Amino acid sequence: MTEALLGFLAIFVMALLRMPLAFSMGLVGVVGIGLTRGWMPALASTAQVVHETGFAYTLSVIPLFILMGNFVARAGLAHELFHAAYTFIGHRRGGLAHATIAACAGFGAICGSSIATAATMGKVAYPSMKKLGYSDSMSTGVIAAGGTLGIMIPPSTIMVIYGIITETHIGKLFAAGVLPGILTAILMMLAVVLMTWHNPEHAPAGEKFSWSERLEALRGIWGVLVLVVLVLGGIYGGFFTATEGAGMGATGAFLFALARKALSWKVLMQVLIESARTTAMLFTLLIAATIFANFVNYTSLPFELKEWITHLGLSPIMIVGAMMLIYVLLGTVMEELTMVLLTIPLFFPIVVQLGFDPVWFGVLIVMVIQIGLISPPVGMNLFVLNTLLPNVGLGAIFRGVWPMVVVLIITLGILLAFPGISLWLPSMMD
Amino acid sequence: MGSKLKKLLEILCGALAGLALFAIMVLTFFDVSGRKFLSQSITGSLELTELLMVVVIFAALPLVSLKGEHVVFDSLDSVLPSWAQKVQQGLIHIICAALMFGLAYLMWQTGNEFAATGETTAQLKITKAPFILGMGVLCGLAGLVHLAKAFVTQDDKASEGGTL
Repeated sequence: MTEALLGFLAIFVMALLRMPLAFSMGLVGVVGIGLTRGWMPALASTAQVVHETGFAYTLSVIPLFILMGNFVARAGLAHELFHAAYTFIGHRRGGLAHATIAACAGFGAICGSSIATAATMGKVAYPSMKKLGYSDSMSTGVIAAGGTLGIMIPPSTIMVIYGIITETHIGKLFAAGVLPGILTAILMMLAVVLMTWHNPEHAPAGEKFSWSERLEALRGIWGVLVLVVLVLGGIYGGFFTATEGAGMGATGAFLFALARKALSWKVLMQVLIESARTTAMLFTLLIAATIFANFVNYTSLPFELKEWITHLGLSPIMIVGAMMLIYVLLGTVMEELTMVLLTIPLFFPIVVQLGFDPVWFGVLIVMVIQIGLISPPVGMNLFVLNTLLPNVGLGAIFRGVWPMVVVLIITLGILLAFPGISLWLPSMMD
Repeated sequence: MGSKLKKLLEILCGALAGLALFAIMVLTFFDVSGRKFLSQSITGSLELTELLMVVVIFAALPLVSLKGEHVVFDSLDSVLPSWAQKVQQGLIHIICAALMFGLAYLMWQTGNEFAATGETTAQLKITKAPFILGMGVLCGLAGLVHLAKAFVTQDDKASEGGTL
């Protein structure tokens, strides 16, 4: 057990010294296996992990979903989504904020990244809110929080990664994210209602649209609907595997971007290379995390932790609750992907042993990542908006997002208490 | 000189990784639509995807290093004076370079083992060794990038998990 704890300690020390996490995890994994099992097995297993992770057909699901998201972001579909939502609810108090959340949810159904969703909607929604006199903290808070819907509503890169490292069915994870995603969006909208009740001047109402204008706006989003039905419908209906669906979705998004003349050769290459870089970065982390997990699993730590926790006499749900509390606290200061990659080898076996559904735990993991992405002081969505909108200070963004952090924590509690919300849709896939 | 080399690296690795990714997309599209709608699949499409995945990941790896896109914590940055940060970053890059060279050597060895046994893919009988040797070469290239960055001052903007 001591070896594994030293390993974790070494990773944290190296991380604080600014060593890239993939390198520190990989190094600790190799050295750990080398010291406990011998250097030959350590090197042989490293070569094997690199080789197997590289040559893996099913893992092509990762670059394909990333590519789909990047094409969709370039195709300008976000404008239409936002406009459609705006024509329906823009005339109410806080209407633009509601429209932003709805558009984020819609965008989340074709994009698997929280940061991309926040960045795209930031460009689309912020100028409109600014023009109408929304306060900066209100608008950025809503965009940052709405962006996190990108990873709960399928497709979702992090669900794919969770599915791969825990060997959980990715299609089921996707199905499980639908209702929690919608629930989160609704609760966020309720929060906007409450916030505007107190400070109506922060979020004035917009213009009202006629029904013919609304239908016209709806026609603008058919592209999004086609992609959603094709990809998610195909995967849910069992017509496609996740990998196949990702390939069809990426091609569909590519054709949309092409048809809308959003792609020059230069932009196309940019999108492809950007997606390839993200893929390479992720695979370095995946490979390193696998090597590290191999090391941790050789040690007695997972077993002893399991023993210790089961002897605490806590009820199973309290144990999962405690894990969630740890995640929410860690998420305020840690990068979320690393947090998950480091803790899954320890937590996941316990959750399975307690008899919980890995799909449900996956949804909870996505939820804590959502919380981490918008909880100050270290929340990636907040930084992205800060870079995108240099005139808005981080302070204003922090102030605006707090109510949404509370909303997400409440949602986490609901998902924890009622597993059915997550598990109902996947249960119909069998 | 340095900027020319950098440009060359960006173009070569970028073209390799980008086109391989595009090929995976097109291949998956035709394979899946052929299989679902015409009940005719592309022979060996799974293997081709696997080989192309290797190209995507490892050709983009030097670019990730070049752009400083590996996930790091940067919480201590505000605490350290700027000269200390420069020394620290230089040291980290040297360690990263060493690790990459180590991995390059390991994959090169593995590639040679594959070459000796002449292992091929199951359907199309494509020799695997060149791809594994290629992994080694590209890891080495990423190592060189880190080594170069150790001696050139640069201000990387930390990227925290660009995928989430």
